[in-house]
Amino acid sequence: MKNITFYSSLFDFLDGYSEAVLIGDKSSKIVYVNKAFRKLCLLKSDELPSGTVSHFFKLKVNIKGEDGEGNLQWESNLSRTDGSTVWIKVSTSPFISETGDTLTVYTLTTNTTLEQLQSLLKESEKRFETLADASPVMIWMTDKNNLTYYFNKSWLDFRGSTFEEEMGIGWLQRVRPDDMGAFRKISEFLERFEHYSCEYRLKDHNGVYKSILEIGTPRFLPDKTFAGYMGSCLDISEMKSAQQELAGYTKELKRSNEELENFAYVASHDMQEPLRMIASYTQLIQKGIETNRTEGLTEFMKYVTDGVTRMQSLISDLLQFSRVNSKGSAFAEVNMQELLSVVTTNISEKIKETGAVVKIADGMPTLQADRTQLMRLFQNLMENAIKFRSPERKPIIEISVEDTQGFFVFHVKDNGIGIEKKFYNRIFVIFQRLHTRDEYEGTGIGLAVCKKIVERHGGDIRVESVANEGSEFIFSLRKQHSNNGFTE
Amino acid sequence: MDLLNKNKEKPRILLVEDNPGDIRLTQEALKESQLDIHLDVVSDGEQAIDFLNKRNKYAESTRPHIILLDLNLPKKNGIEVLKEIKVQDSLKSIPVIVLTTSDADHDISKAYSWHANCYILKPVDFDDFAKVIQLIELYWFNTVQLAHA
Repeated sequence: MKNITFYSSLFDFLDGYSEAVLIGDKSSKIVYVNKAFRKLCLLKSDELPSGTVSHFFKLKVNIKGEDGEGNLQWESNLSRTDGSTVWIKVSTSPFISETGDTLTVYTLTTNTTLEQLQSLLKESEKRFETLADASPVMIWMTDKNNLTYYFNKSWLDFRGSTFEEEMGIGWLQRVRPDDMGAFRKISEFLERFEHYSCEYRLKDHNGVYKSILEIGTPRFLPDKTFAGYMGSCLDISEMKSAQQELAGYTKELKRSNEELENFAYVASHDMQEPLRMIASYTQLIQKGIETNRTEGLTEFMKYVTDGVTRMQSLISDLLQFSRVNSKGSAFAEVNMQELLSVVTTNISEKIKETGAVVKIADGMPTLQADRTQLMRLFQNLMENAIKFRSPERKPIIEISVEDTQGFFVFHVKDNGIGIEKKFYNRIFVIFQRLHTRDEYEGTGIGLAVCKKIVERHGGDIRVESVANEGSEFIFSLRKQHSNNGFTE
Repeated sequence: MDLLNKNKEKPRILLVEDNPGDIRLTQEALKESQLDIHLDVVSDGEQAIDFLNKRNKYAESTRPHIILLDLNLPKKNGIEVLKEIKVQDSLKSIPVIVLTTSDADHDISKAYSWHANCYILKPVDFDDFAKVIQLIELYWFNTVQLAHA
């Protein structure tokens, strides 16, 4: 115990002292507090707090032992008069006054210790990590050079890699190269320390690219200097593919609606023509009968029967066209050699009439298809070859096949009148005709049916031709079908 | 009376129509009219253009005063024929009367935007059809003044 002479001027001195000081007597009763203490505890003016020292220090932690002279140190949360508390470190030094009383000086420092700071920081970090790792969202942080130094568990799980592999710009190697443009765009935001969002594809733990939505927010230190970015990434692949699927369906629906609308319009238009003929010519016939004028009646009658025949063939062709998809059969093994000989027999009458020659190449395959539709396809093409024959020579129809990857490509070649190049596409459009009705009868549906059948078999059809030498129809049929000929 | 009659020039119509039934109906309807009209007929779009330009087998053709144009034609459709007539300085003054079964808005607006002079729907009834043909004659040959070639 120190022997210090108790000067009355000591209190004056302590009032000027920057640390808070409190003095208690033997029974811990408060005998003095300095100005700094009043300020710290928010005490009013000169009144001395009543009660004992323990009123202020209800809790004592980290008590450090006596140094042999009765000095103690501890930490406590000081209760202030407004009910709040402040963390302090207390040092005590006992001394004996002039009057022989044993007093204790309590010196209070509010500076938090380094260990405390570290432990607070550790706890905060732990809290962040626990939170980040519990999040299903991928979270990362970069330093002020935009190098990544933190990835949460979701990120490492998604990538199936270690922190060491990912840190810095390691993760960037796993971004799909053609998506690197997204990063060039965000570099503008990075330069201005702005919030950004972007999308790119990143390889997951199975090596599959997944669509990622990334949102980045800049971090600043209390002194406003830039500390790096913090961001989150969400795997939006499923959402994206659902969106794409939906967009695909919408597009297909729109196309099919447009086709239907167009079809209904053209169909009604083409069907009205024969009806108009029938109506008008029956009227003319009636007039002739009423006026006893027989002139032209036979011809008028011909227009009526023509109209009826035309109406019939339009209806049957239209039915055929509309049934390609709706009334198709399931795909089964079709032997093309056998099928072609049946088709040839079906049109044997026309072959005989025109003296046509049908040459079928060897090596006709067996394939998965709708048999009835393939018969229709070949019959339409062969009938066309005979119909559009050259007046100068007998028709020759050559049918051959190529075995290519995934497809059989068929060729139906004739030596007829041919088709001008500018009509190559138009001939496959429904109701489009290249010839007037007195030249060649037809509804303009046959090749549209062929195109639809080929498309149902996963292929496409085109024509090549030299005018006056002949035409060659080339179409592909898929070898394997996943859906058995029916769209889900 | 108009210029045509003053000059005693016979009114000429070019009918662009692929349906033989319609061609015959037009002829029947013209028979019922008072005017002595010369009717030329071509049955597709390419022939129409050849006729007007006096090309190929139509080298000897005579320029029509008006054209009756169907829209639904083989090879070159009616709108394409209309376009070619209306962009050609030597032909664009010939009135083109679109005579068709199509009442589709897009056909009507396309025809007018390519400067069709009028757009008429083919009536289903013969009497109505004959009436339409007579109205066309009355209007284009007895009412309006046509430009000289």
